[in-house]
Amino acid sequence: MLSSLAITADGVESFDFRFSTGLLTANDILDSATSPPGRYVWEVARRTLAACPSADAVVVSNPILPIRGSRLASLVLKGGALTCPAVVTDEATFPIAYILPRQLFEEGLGRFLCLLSVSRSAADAQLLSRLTGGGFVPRRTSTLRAVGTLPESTPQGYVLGDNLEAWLVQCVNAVTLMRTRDDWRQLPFAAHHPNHAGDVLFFSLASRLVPDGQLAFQRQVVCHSYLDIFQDCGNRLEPIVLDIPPAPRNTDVGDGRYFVESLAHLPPGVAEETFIVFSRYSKAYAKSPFNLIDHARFSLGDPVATFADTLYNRAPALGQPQHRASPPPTPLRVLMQLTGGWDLKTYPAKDRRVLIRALCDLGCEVSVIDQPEAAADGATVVTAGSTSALRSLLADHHVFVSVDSFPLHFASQVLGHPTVAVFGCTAPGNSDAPRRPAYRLPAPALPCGPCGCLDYCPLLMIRECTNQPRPAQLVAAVLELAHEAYGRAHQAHGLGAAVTQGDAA
Amino acid sequence: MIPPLNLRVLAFFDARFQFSGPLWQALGGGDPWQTALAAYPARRHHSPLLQPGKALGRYDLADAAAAGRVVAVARSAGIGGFVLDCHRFADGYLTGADCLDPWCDDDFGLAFRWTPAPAPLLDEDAAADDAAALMAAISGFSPLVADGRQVLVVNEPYKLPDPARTVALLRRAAQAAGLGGIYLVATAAEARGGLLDAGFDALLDPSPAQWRSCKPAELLNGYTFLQAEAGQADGGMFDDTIMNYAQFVNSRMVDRPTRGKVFPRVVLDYADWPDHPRGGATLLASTSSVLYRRFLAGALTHVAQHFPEGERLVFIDSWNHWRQRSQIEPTTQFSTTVLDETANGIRQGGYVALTRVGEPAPGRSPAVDYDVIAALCRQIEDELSAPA
Repeated sequence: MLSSLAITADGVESFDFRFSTGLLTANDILDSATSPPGRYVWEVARRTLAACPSADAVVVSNPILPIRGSRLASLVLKGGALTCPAVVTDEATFPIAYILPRQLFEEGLGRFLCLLSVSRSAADAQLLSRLTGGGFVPRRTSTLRAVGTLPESTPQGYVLGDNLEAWLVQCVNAVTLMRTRDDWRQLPFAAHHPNHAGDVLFFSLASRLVPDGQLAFQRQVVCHSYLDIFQDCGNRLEPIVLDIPPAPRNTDVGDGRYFVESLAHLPPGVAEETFIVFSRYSKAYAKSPFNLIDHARFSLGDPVATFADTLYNRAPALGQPQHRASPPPTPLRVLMQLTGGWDLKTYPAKDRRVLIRALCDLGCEVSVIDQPEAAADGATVVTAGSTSALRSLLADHHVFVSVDSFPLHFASQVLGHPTVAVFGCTAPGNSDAPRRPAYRLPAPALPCGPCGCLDYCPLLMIRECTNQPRPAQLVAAVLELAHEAYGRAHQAHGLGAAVTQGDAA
Repeated sequence: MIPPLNLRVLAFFDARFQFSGPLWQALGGGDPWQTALAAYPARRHHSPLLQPGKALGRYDLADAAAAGRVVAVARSAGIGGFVLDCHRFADGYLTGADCLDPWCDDDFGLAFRWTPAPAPLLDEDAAADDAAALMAAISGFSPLVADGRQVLVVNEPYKLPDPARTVALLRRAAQAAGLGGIYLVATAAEARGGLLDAGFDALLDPSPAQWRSCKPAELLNGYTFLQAEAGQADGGMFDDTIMNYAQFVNSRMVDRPTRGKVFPRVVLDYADWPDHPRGGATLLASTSSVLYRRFLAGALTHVAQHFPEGERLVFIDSWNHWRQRSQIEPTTQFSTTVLDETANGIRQGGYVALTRVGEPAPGRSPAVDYDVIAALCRQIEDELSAPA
């Protein structure tokens, strides 16, 4: 729930917006988990001014609070004449809304709102002061009782906790930079999204899709261990290499805490010339139905305002090649990645064994990445420690079968290799590829997913996800793809039993 | 809001909430809200019935403005029609559809649910008369159509002595009533049993009480059982069937394509204890509006992917069955939370369905023999399961 007021010479008009759950209209804003709350202040203000071109100022509610437009109006308009700019607070000091002059947007400074802390009115007032010429920005106390202790996560999907500190730190650092640099308007913005492999890929592809006029960022902070992904995915941004290990995949170190601690490890001089925006997960991404590439595009400044703008309608813009394997046409060679970033993504052991054996029985050669135990069922165990190693493995295999992990995204979204995507505990819509020939997604059917659990099924209390497709589905998908991508060549070699006679003729 | 791809979400609707008119009179008058809501939990595990929220309140459908508000709220959530029960009265049927019809159009229509009379009561002629009366009762309103025909849901079809005969009878009666054709949906979980062969156009998941699709939750251990037997604890849980909601929704969606042309019935909550005061009730436990949203979205995606364009229906059970606690209308206790999640689920399902347009239907490539693959995988599974 997001709201705003347009302040005109004639009066006030209120607006209500939603974090979109699938519909994209003038009042539905793409739900982007990688965008800090301030990005929504910018977007809501932009849409409000577009809807009310005569507005001199706009009041935007704090995105982490559920404030309806009518409530916002009653809170803001009580208590005398409005001053602009200003930060509206609860009866204590918590910011509940921002009063922003139209001029701020006309000068192209809207992106600086991404740096708002949304939790400290003093810091936010300082930021607005810098953005509007350095004058005093008052805090306007409203009658809303003190917001009090915030929950760890909100119904709108915001994950608070450490993230509150990250948003505050980015705001304070920005104010410091603006105080010390007269040329702060020209300084670049960097998205702090240093890990993990798949996420770096999504941000890289997103950077290629954002139109020039909307791209608000020039740089991206990326861990050194993912620099090859950053480069091989054609990221348009300039990398700021973070030479520390990525955050662990468990929840021991939250994104917010990692952000704050990583700032001390930035290359010398970066902090003195770059506005760094926290661009890891501010929200729980699985609540949003949109692809993480669209999440990232929104973070980088693209409004992604209609369905036609979303990845699924814009896939050709990536210029995706139709990557095909180069080995001799027979036998059919299948590469598999059956482990993911966390335990519950791993394809269940028993099903894995059936899958490998069935393909081998059908005459296929199966290679499995980084799972030595697969050798017992007839697979060759291989490793892919870099994008170039993965690329060469794919070139040597006709079809790739992968759980929701970086190799899946690289093969399907960057290379366009014939790929079977295996999803179970995560939502395909968040990270699968747009539909194209030679891509199959036996979608998980159970509503329990995405469960958000990392290492056990919360329903059955076991360490496997039963929402994964069955081996027979995957075998069928592999053969369908082989036929689709390589024609009839494979039917000559051992697949006769599973391939229909008419087609093999 | 209208979902894309010709997706239609229907909600079962109780039209008895009116204080005048033929249906009200036929049911004996009185306050229908009192009748629906006057039930108090007798067991610890019986959740109290909820109360209508201020958004719609205890409306009187006989009041045109009130009926219009109900339809407007449903439309705004993305619902495309209501399914009304046909109440047998004297020699005919009453539906209450006349209250809602003025607010219906092509985007919001009415379908009907008919429960056949017990077979021994009707001979051939009486059955034909009954079918004619039924068609008379459901014609003349803005119809909800599937495949270009008005939708009629047949409840408890397994009680029909000869389903094919009934289907033929209904089709003849529909023609005679000028309906042109009728789209018959049988309440049954899977295409086995010959209902589609008998002429039904599609099936619909039965209600939680009609089909216990997952095993009951084991909420009590042996010690508690002994305690209850000894009179030291409430033993009511042993008399009722309680299903865990997460397991229930999973069981309703698992392997759906193998069940054939069965429309999903999406349920937020279910507790029919008011009508089973001495035990035998069916209840869902640990319900969740988030899971409900995903259930609804998944159902929409399923029908978009597997059903022909003119027959993409998802049923919500229910709009206002307050006595079964399954209503999605705003409540005093939870305000519009459930209705909002309904709208979110419809938006999400519509979006996901759109992203999958162009995806080849699973299991339909002429180049692959799916039976051979299934048999091979079963054989390997058996080998791996066999003791060494």
